[in-house]
Amino acid sequence: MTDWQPQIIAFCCRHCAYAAADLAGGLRLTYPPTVKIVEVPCTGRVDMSHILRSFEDGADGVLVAG
Amino acid sequence: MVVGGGVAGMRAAIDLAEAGLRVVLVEATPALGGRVAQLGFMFPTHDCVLCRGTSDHGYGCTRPAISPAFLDHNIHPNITILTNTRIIAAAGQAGNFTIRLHSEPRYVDVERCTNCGLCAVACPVELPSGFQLDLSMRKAIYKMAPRTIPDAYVVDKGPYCDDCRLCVDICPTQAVNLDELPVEHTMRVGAVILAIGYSLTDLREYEEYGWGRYSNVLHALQYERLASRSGPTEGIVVRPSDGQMPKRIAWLQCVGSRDQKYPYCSSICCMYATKQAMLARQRVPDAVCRVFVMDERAFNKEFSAYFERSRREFGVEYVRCRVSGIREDVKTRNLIVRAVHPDGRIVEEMFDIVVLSVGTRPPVLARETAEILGIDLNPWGFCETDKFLPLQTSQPGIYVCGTFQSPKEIAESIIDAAGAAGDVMRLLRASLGKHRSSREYPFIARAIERPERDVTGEIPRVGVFVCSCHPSIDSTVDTNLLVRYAQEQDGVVYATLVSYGCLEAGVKCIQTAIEEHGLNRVIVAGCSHRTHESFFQRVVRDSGLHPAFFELVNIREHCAWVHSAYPEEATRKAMRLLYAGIRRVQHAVPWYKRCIRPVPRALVIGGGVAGMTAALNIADSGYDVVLIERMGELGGNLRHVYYVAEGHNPQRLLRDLINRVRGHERISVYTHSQVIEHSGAVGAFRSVIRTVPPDGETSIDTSIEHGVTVVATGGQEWRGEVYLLGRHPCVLTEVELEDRIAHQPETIAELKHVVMIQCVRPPDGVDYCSRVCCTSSMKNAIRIKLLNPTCQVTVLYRNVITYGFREQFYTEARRRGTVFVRYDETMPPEVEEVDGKLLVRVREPVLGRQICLEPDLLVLNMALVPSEGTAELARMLGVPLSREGFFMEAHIKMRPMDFMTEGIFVAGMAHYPKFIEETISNAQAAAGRAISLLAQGALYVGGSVAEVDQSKCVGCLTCTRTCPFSIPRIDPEATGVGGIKGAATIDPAVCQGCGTCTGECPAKAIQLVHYTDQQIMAYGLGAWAPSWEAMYQ
Repeated sequence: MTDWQPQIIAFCCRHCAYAAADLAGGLRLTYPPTVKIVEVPCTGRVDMSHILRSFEDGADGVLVAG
Repeated sequence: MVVGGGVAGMRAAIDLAEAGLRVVLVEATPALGGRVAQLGFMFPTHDCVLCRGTSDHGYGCTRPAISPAFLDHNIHPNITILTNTRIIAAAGQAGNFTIRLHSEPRYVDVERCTNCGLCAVACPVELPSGFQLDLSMRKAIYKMAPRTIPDAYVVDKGPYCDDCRLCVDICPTQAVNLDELPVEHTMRVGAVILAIGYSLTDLREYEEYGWGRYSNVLHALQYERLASRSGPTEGIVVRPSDGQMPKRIAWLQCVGSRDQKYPYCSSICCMYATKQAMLARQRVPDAVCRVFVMDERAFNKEFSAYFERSRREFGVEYVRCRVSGIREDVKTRNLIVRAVHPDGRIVEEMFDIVVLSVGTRPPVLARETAEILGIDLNPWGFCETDKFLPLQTSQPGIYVCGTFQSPKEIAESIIDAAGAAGDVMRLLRASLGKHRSSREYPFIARAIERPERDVTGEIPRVGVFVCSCHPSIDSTVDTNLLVRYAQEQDGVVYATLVSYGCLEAGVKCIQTAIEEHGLNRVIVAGCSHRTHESFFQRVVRDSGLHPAFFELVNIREHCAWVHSAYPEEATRKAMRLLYAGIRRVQHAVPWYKRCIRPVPRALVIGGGVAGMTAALNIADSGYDVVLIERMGELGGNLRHVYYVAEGHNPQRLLRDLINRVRGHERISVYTHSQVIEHSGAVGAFRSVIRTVPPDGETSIDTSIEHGVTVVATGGQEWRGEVYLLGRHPCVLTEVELEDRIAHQPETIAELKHVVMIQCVRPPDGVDYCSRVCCTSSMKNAIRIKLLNPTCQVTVLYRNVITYGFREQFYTEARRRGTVFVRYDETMPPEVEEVDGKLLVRVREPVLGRQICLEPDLLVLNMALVPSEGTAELARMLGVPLSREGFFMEAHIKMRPMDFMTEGIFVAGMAHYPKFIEETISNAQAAAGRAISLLAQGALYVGGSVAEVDQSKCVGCLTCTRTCPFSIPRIDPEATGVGGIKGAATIDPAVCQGCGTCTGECPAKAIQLVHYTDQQIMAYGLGAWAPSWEAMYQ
């Protein structure tokens, strides 16, 4: 179990969290490759069904950032 | 020409460009952003400046309606940016200047630099970073900030650069050219706006505070970098001496302000120190944060409440004391601060970090610029302006905005900038709308000639272009494998590797492939949406495809750059991201915005100085104005102002404004009138004005159509039964005192003792600073002293708020012998009548005792409150009010004169109490914003906004309740699900496109265009192509 890395889907508002993720890249910070970012126009757009669908599809965690 | 690429300069440039004028934006440093780019957070909202207002974002709030115009590759086509550039000579006059510019070489080709950073790794020269204020190091080839405009590196080719050319050799795109030479340009421009900012006091002048000698003494901007997420420590505040987390931090106010040498107030320090202290408490909850302050100058909207929160919720301590010096404990490097305690004892306290709230100085280039352009500077070295022409320099056609005019915060700099832009629009009215651009698509463009190809009914033919962006992407991600993977996906007919998609060859490769392979969907796997989406959207549109058929997959910032240690996993992630993009783009549907031709007329509500100024600016620029005033006469509060502290005659301004408004052929004035109906959206509003003549005749309703609305309804002095007001003849308000000084000076000259009580406010009202009262007390106190030097004047105050250069009137009032007594808000002065005489009791904090005063005149400085009917008007316009009851703008810092509802602007005291000069700037700003809307021949609204499928709507009202902007409404005429009458409708012209309603709608009747459920679900979120792993492992 020690190698296990949770699959995380991050819904990021394009105006802030997505930009922050860009900045993380620009600064060459690091985070696990199992984090995947989905761009949304506002975190308000994230629907309960999107979160549930992420889990159905095999995600271990969902991050809504904005 | 706009000089200075800080937040004010950018704002002015954007407004002018929108109005169809060509703009040259000149910046002396290698990147835009100015001071604001160095800030981590803004007061009082604590918004992260990184995304709200830096060079990164251009300006403004983040709603799609005002898409960030300065994002790289989406710079307004009317704006030319010249960095590293200074003015060297100027000639000509308003409307026709010839300016010579000198540009230092950047040595890096902005178009070719991909920000891979190899050059900086190779460079052997290390220098202190100016952007991080020497708290960290950078190389001789460097990028000013992690994200800059222009988004490219620059070479600092000072004497320390030994021309080793390692950067030239290593650059994969041959972008570095160390032999580049300086360039001189000559430009012909119609007007110049100076937005050259400010500099900081050289703290070495203040040896007693030890800055530069004691390592743990920082100035406020250094602390700002230290606390910023993009700072040298990624936002973790540590002591420079030992890297330890501080437990005790002190802020010392007014270092380099309000003293003998620099006798003015820097206006921003009280607020930023409070912000820094609050954030410090948030990060290190048990830290002691103490601010040593003379007066708490919280004089803008929400500011008083911010101080209160800082005290109550965050436990920041304020000590009323000016610290005279600091010593350092040599062993621990702790700092010893000697200060007076509230109980009067002088104590020495130890702090881990001391932050000096450093004063603002005129910009470095002030003198040079003033000499070249022939403009006057004021005694303090800032730009000289007239009180009633606050944005004009002494040279016609040259305007000023922001901190070069006087120290001020972001919101006011933005108001100035929009106002100066408005002034320029008036001057160059013949050229308005000459260079039109369109927002028909998500990017800003000049006219696109090629017609769009209709792809309806075509099977998706996806083309995938994997950008190697060598070495940024391909050193981590196996791009060849990615191309092979893409080729095998359903729907993909073409996949290839491009070396740099954004360079000419890359663009050509994409466009040729679209033609040759009949592609109708395009994917670029490369960099970020934020930097390049609009660039590639334009590329596909130029090939005839709607931009909705383009999808950018971010495998650089979100993959290669953050996972460089795990190339295999990064490649896998890139494949999954690409897979999601391929799926999503196949569901894309083109969308079109609605085009509105704005009605070339403005409605201005309120005929005071703000309303009249705005009306004149708009009318002078060539648009019709309907100006309505509730009272019988124009003038508003200005009618009761007889003199100002600076000595100008406001009555002349009043007469001049009224004459010009009355005589203007484009302005129709309706007095005794009010708006009773206001509907429609930007470009096409419709209002009904009701005029009620005073002589009891029947009222008349007039219906007008207008493209924009300016709200300038002003404020008024609060009147309440306090301190015997209205019951004792010797109790007056400030306005009444001014009237008496102007009309019956002989009665004033007889007075022996005048007491003024500041901050008299409604007992149950919100506590806020009315901003103008302290200065008006100063001017009246000085007048009384001039009329009778022996008359004693005592001012009972809470905080003396004479910000900026107004500090001189405080100094002058004290010099003339006015006595100032501070009272605590919990123990306000008491007034009673004893044998017909007034008796004022107040607790004096220095003596710690109650004192009794027996004035023969008591003057009350009443709070300024919004005009009557403000709340009603706000409801009618559908705009919010602040907690103080004034109109609430779209964003307190970045959009201070706009409402969230497009096309409605606010000016003057309707926004918050302000001085005449501030009201004029604000009115010009609102006018400028209005003109730049009207000057666009076509407004495009809608796009990626919410759409209702009324046949699914059950009319449950969920959307109307969840919308943060109150936009959805139920249309009783529309037919909903099952033929029931009444269904939701969302006006695309006002929808902000956040998608909150789509997420909440239980019937799934609302979808956000371009972010439909189908498109988001297409990500196949969690598993993301489970099958590939078996194939490629």
